[in-house]
Amino acid sequence: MAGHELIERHLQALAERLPAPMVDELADGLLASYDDQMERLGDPDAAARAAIADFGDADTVTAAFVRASPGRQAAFRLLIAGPIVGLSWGAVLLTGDAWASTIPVPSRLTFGFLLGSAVLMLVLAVRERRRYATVRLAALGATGTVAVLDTVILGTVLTLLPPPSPLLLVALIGSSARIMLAAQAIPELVAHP
Amino acid sequence: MRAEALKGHLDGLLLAALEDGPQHGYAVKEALRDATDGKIDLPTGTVYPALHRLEQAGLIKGSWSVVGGRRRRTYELTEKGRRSLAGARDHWQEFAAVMSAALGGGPWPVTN
Repeated sequence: MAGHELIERHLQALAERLPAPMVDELADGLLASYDDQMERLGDPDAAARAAIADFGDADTVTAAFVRASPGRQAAFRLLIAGPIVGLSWGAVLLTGDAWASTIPVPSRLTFGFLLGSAVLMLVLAVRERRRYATVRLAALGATGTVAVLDTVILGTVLTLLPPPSPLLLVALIGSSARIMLAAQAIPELVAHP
Repeated sequence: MRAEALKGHLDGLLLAALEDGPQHGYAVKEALRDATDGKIDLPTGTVYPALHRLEQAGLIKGSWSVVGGRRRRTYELTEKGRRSLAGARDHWQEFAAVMSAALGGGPWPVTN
């Protein structure tokens, strides 16, 4: 489909980093540009070089797609919400340890491990620049894990019925908001390539 | 024109390029270049991520077709996109008027 070996190589570099529909769309643009340059310059090598120079290098194009990706945006939102919700629950547990101490240690350790994994996946989704699929999968994994953890917290509170307090209310609202954030983000992350 | 001069205006420019009807990414870039006598000539590859961002925001919607054996994605403005373009125009006119007044060499307003 590509009109020149250089164009083909450029598209191959993009195909290693971006989903197929995006590469199809970019290929159409790059080949249209190549056709225009061929009309203008008449020489295939010069036209391919000019089209690629005008197009931008694979790193720049990939980074722009990653920045605009739903995965990156969802990860940013959760990373901002994380410390607020985490501090709220931390304060609840520190001030009301009588009910919290009834939660078995293995459950707490599992919770902590999953939370740590979610944070690592969020950081990966925000920091990765070159692999679109990695950003999407990391964001999807983190969003799902955060939603499950927040649901577990809400379920635990409903089961143990700790004494109500303003701090507990803030933490519950925080977790509920985060579940809603995840519920909004997950369908978009699944639907996008 | 330097890329940093376009910061904050790229969305409005892309929406304006789609105002007259559906266009694919390369045609959007060409429309912008032609409308500005070549002064705004964006790198082709960076137009597409911006279009994807506008689509995710619901300002444009894309559809696939096959042209000359190639898959082509064409974009058109949504109602939300038209409203956003009108807002961008108003904002730009206000900004341009203020900057023209400030840079045009006219008298500065008296303040205390």
